[in-house]
Amino acid sequence: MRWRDVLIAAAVLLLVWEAAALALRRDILPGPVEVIATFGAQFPGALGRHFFVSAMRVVAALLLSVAAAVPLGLILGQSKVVNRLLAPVIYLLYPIPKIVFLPIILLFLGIGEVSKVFIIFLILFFQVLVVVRDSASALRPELLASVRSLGAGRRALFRFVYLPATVPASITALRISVGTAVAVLFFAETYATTSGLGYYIIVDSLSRLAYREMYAGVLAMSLLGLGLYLALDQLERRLAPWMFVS
Amino acid sequence: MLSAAKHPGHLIIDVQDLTFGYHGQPPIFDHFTWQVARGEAWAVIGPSGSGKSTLLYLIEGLTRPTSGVITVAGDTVPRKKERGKTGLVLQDYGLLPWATVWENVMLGVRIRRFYGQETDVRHAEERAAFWLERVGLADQRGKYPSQLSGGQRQRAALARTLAIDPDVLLLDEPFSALDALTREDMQRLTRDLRAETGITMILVTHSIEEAVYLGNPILVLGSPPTHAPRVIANGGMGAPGYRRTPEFLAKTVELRAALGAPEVDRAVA
Repeated sequence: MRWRDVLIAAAVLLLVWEAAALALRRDILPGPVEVIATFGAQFPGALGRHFFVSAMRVVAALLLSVAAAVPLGLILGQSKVVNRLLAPVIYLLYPIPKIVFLPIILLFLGIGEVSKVFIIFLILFFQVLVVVRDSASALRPELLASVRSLGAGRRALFRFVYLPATVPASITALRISVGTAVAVLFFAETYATTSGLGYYIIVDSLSRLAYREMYAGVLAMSLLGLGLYLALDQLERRLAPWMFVS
Repeated sequence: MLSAAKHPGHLIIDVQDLTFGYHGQPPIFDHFTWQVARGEAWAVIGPSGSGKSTLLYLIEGLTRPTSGVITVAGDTVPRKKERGKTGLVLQDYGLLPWATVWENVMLGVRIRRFYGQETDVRHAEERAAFWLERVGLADQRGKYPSQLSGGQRQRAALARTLAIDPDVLLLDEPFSALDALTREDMQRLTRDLRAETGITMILVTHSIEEAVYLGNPILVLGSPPTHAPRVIANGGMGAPGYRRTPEFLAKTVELRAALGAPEVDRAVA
């Protein structure tokens, strides 16, 4: 995909938006020019602060989920015994939409940063865990045998086979699930908090009927999701170039 | 650059009183003793389930014997003091899909360095470059395995194994996934590489022609359990044009008989 095509697509979407705003002529749908102007005016102030808070929550959850899920996934992928013990637990927990745990998390972890980060962490953790475990256990025994024949023991196998085989897969998992993570964050931020884009959009703007600010917030949230997706996409290309050769 | 055969004729692989069977199954090897002298080029042939691949895995130290001792160059396997010195090339190539040809060829060197066993990196890089050139892949070094043909992948796997200057080369049906012409090409390359290096080689194959072309002597494995090695000498191996001589044909007939094949084709042969 080329950047020029992406920019053209963005321009088309903005034109559709503008056309809809012109046709509707109501203040609940301001046009893109107005919204972008509000975004530009607000971003150096409150909007930027809320954007930064939300971004930090997602990034913290991303890093924590990788730090926790990659080692555990590697252990599960390598050890049949441990996997046999934990696989049923993961099987039960993996498909549960983690958002339903939000009230419980709020009760236990309170309304501060920790609960917001934890709910996103929970979503990403299971995605990464399952992908890392499956890509580690899917390594062909012949591949492991040849690398062992080159002298690799357990530690070298870890360093030269398991890690490079699973880290790019976990980034792919993050890229696919980061959209869900941002959506859940949005929801979590509309609860009992005074910071983050969810708060800015719902509590601060919608409740005041400040439509342009609300739309600027929606734009910021979209850019956050898009930015994270693109960043992970680039990271994937950097760390797994072999997946992109013809 | 080529490591000449050190002390030809001396014992290098010593399989003593080996007993091995897969879990819950009758033994494949039962008090089996077999020795390989330095510089020999063995072929191992036998039907499926006769334990020919298992024998290589045992010598490599990837599979532990139930009882008995295997030593290579005096060390009990797996060789921790000389990591990677028993080279193993599998049918499946075993290349890292995420690493380029060059990174794959350097893998053994990096693993040895990881354990502090390869101190002269520049020399190791020169050796890797030499073998990459020798197998004809010098211009493919930046490519990924998925961009190579089957024959090229097996060449890369050979270069990777040779790059750590092994004293034993184990080949487990290395060419059986390749098309006929590529296979012959790889057989010639293997014959030449062995002649150039004098390396001790054990080639496991299910092809009678391949065994006769590359192996002298030839170890014949039958239905398990195997108690003692059955060995067929193949003195003509390595002679120029051997494949097209009557001796070659006679040897394939002898080997076919040793494997217990019916002799109905003799008139055709």
